[in-house]
Amino acid sequence: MINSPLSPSGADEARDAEIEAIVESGPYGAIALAGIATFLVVAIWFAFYLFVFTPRAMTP
Amino acid sequence: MSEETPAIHETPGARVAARVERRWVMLSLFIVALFVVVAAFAGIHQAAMPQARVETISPARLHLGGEFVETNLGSAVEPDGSVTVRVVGQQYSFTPQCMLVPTDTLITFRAASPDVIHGFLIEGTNVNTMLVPGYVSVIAARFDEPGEHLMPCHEFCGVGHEGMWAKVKVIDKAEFLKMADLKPRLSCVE
Repeated sequence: MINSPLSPSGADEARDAEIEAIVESGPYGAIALAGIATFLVVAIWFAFYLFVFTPRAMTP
Repeated sequence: MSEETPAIHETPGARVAARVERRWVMLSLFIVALFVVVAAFAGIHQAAMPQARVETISPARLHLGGEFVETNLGSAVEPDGSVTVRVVGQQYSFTPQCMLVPTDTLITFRAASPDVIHGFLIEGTNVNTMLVPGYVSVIAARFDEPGEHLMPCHEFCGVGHEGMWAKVKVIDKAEFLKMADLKPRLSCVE
């Protein structure tokens, strides 16, 4: 399940406390998603730099 | 919001979010700085940078006199052993249409445009510049293997842009020098 489960019934305060606890534990899902996406972009950039651009570079 | 409830930015959850966001910004800035450092390294260490000096030339008189007259275009062997290739890019062709260059030699391309901006790109190499009317574009290259490289105009220059392309033909150095002994300017026609 993508979202953390909330107890189906309960008072508003209980739900708020539950949400607060979830938020407090940190946005690990968002970090993982953004981290993987950023890593892929940086890895592809370096792959082009090291395996395509640098071998073709020349010093006259 | 009641008096007892803390403001939204003061809750522990908000503090966690702010901390994560701050760290993410730091990481992003580090990645940007890393790219800048690597790009600077490429420019300083590997000479992958724009030409060092600006040379101007009159686009209206390009073909009338000076180094870009038709008889002077093509590949010429210099006294230091390097080869200079002079090229004119105009709507919608390059002259010479096929450039002949030797392997394992420093090649200096000198190119100019008499009309509009054209692109100068040699496929399979880092040679990539623009021909701007009024300026001489100078770019160096070295080819290790014999073969042919496509050279399309990659800067939209008008209705015939897609048909504007040339070729760079790389041949064995000894064979090239033999041909250069017979003719001062070479292209694939010889």
